[in-house]
Formats: sequence, C-alpha cells, structure tokens
Amino acid sequence: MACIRIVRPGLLTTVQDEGRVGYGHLGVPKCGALDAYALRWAQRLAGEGRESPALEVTLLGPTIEIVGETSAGLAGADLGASLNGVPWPPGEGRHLRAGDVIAFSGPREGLRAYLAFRGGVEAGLVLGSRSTDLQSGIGGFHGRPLRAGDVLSVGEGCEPLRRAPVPTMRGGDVVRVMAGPRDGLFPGDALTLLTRAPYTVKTESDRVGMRLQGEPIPKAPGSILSEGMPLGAIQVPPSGQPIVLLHARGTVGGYPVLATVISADLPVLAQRKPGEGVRFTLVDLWTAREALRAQSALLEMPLVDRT
Amino acid sequence: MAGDAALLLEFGDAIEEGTNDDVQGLRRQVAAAGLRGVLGAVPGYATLLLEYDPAIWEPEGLLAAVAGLAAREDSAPARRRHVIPVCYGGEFGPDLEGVARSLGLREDAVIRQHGGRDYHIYCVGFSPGFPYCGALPPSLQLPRRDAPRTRVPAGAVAIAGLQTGVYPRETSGGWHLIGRTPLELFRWDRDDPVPYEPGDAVRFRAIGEAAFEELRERSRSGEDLLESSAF
Repeated sequence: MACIRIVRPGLLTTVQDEGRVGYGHLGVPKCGALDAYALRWAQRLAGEGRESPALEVTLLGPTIEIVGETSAGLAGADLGASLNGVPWPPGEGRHLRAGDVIAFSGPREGLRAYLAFRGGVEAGLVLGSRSTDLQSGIGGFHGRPLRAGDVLSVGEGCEPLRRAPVPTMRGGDVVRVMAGPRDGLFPGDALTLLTRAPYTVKTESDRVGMRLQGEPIPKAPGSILSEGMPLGAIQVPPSGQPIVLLHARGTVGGYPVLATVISADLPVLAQRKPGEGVRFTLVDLWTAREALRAQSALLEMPLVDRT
Repeated sequence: MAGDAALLLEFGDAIEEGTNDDVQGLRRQVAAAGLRGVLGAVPGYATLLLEYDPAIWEPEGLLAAVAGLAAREDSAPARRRHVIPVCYGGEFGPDLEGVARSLGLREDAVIRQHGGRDYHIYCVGFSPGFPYCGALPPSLQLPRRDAPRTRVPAGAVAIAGLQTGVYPRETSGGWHLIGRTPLELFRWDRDDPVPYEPGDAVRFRAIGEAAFEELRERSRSGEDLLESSAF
C-alpha cells in the first residue's frame, strides 16, 4: 500500500471531489472542488475517474512525502510545485517513489491547484461524497484541513507519464454571468453597475463565498423570503457589495440574487486571488451553454505522452 | 432562470402554508420521479430551486417534464408529524425569561403556547437539518436578538419573528433560545440524515431535566427517539 505523509500542511489543503449532490432540501451544502475543470485534469493525469477524491491546494501548498510507489497528476493554479526540487508544472503527471518529496514554493498564477493520486486519496464517504465540508466538519480526511503528520493512503502503481494538451487552469479576470433570478427586484441600473467596472476580491473570501469590493449595487426595495441559492449566485446584501456564493454555500438564503455566474466560468472565479480583480459580463443562456460545451470538449481531449 | 444550471420556480410571495404545500408537493414528485440529470430540488418558503445538469437538460425541456409531473396525482408519501421533546428555560433556554418579559407573559404560558400546536416545516437550511417552522401565534412573535450569539449549542430550540426552529449542531445564531432538545437530529452516517423533511409537521413537547439527561444518553448511543406518525 502507498501513502502520502503531510510534512507541512500549507495554508488550506483539503480532500475534495465533485461534491455532495441530492441533499440540498435537507440543508446539506454541496462542497467539492471549487475548480471542477482543474480537478478533472488532475484526475485524468492520475488515471482516475470523476469520483476520485483529490487534494485541493490553496495559495501556499503543502510539503508531502511519499511512502511506497504511486502516481499523481497536478492541475490548476501554478503554486510553484516541485518534485524532489525539480519544477513540476501543472498539467503533468509524475511517478512517485518512496522518499520523494512534493513541495510548493509559492503562488505564481492562480489560487487553487489540484493534486490527484492513483487510486484516490483516503477519505470518508458521507452522503455519497468524499468532499470535505469544513463548516460541518465531515467528509474528506476527518472533516478538516490536512495537518502536519497526517498520513493518507493512496493507490499503488505507475500511470503512464502524460501531460494535458491544453492549460489546466482557466485564467483571466472576465467572468460571465446571466441575469437573475431576482434582477427584476433591483433598480434598473443594477446590472449595468455590476458589469461596468472590475470588483476586487476581498481577503474574507472562502469556500462559502467570494466577497467583492467595488461599485456598490443599489438596494432592492423590499425583501425576499428565504429561497434556494444556485451555485454562483451573486447576492447583494444591504452593504451593496456583492458576494458570489461558491460550493460550500448554505442551501437557502435571504438576500436577493442579481445575477448568476455561468457554469463554465466558475473555474475562472475559483482561481482569482484576494486583491485581484473580477470583471463581470452579461451573457444569455445560449452563450452559457456553448461555453460549457466547449469546456467539456476540452476535457475529452486525449492526454499527450511525455516520454 | 437562475444561471445555466438551475431554475427558480415561484409559487407565491408570502409565508403561507398552502403555498408551501404546493412547493413541497412538486418537490416530492420531482424526488420520486428520480429524473436523470436533476440534481436537486431545494424548497424555499414560496419557491422551488431545481438544479440540473446542463449537459442533459435545457430549461424548456425541464419545465415541460416538471409540468408533466405536477399534473399527475400526488403519489409520493404523505406528510408526517414529528414530536420533539424540549426542556424549556433555565440553562436549557437562557432567553426564556427575557422573552416572557418582552411578551408580557409568564414563562409557563410561553411554554404552553409554544408546545400546544403543530408547526409546518417550510424549508430546511441555514445549517444542515435546521427546520424553519411556523407560524408562531402572534402572542409569541418578537424580533430576533439585537446581537447574534457566536455559539448556539446543538439542540437549541429557538424563536424569532413568526418562526421557530431547532439548531441541530453548534453554530452562530440570532434567534431567542427558549429550550433545548436532547435528541441528535442530524446523523451524518445515515442515508436519511434527518427524520423529517420540508413539508412535514413538527410539535414540541415539554420534558423535565431528568428526562432530558436520559433521552440524551439514549440518543447519543444511536437510538431513534423522535416520535413520528402520519399526519
């Protein structure tokens, strides 16, 4: 059996998969990888399927020692990863042997990297998912971020050395949104204001929501009754500073949703660091569906041999 | 539309049991139909959020499929009523005394009025398993606390506005804590993690401290102690 030993945990390293689906009516948040596009590339590079749990590495990555022999895929943000001191760019797979050390020197581009291992990393299955829910302290590895000294079992064996044919991180600051569902409650210029100038990502952002600072959105007169919150919902609290709800969001909320980030651009959002800008642009359903189709097509492209 | 992967269906714009019954009726039918690519049906007070896989559905097709379900006879399981034991006041409900004073009632009158009726579970959210129940009688309605508590203990039974609810686990919270249930309501290790679902009815039954301790021990050891019956 192969294992990974966490020497240093990094800022926030958690086990994530596609998320917890089908329990929203009981108030159970989805959770799962914030950048599902990068997760899927990491899984493929490790020879794994869609349900395989992987590590979500945030900004400052961990130091990991390998026990036994396995393979891994790295995708998403460039956080300065190396294997035994040799740079390991995202979008590539590696064979790992006993005593190998994976380290991260610091962020270069993006915020979240995904490290998938052959056989998936050891994680508790809760309500159909192995993703970590930090608010409830369940799923993943004992329901918490990884700590120094943690040992997680992974699968054994060598996956062919391959790389992704395209970048595994969706960069840029443009995030496409669709109007609504509650745009009708806001003053007429609210969507114009949202899309006029960039917003800055605040440091208080987390896996629940991305808090933004910029042009305040005028208040919607009146209030709404608590209702289900879609993934990517742009909520406007009384301060007028929007919050984009991410995978660990609560299932219902009481602030009206002005616009919703399209599925294809959630990976872009997930890679914006605190202090960086986000520019929203309004699109229709057709554009959103085409964008997702194009992204899914990228994920179907064959991997390229490295040897 | 709520983005390219969800639809928000509106049934009304008020907190009203009849409206919410319609929401829950469709929710149950969607759940029972098990449509491939329909990933969730999350009720609000007067809305249902349908989450779907955009690779499988587009909005018109999904709306048509759901309209077809709505036209069918509701064959899904009927509502149930759950009785939640509560130890009121004192250390179990630190706000009961102040609540009674604000309402101009004696503590035992608050307990009697809170316990003596069925409440409708409008939706479940805020934290996993938290039931938004209502409506409180006008005599028990008061605004939420000025300053939310950073720590509300698991099992706290609380009121705010026309709502009442139970905190299944320790969280922050701005409602008035009038009592506490000894039951563990949310169990992560079960496929059915909570014994109730939105649309069901809830009733609170006053218990004493000794019963609280006994039920807590039994609930912790995994026993199911919620009394549930057809409503």
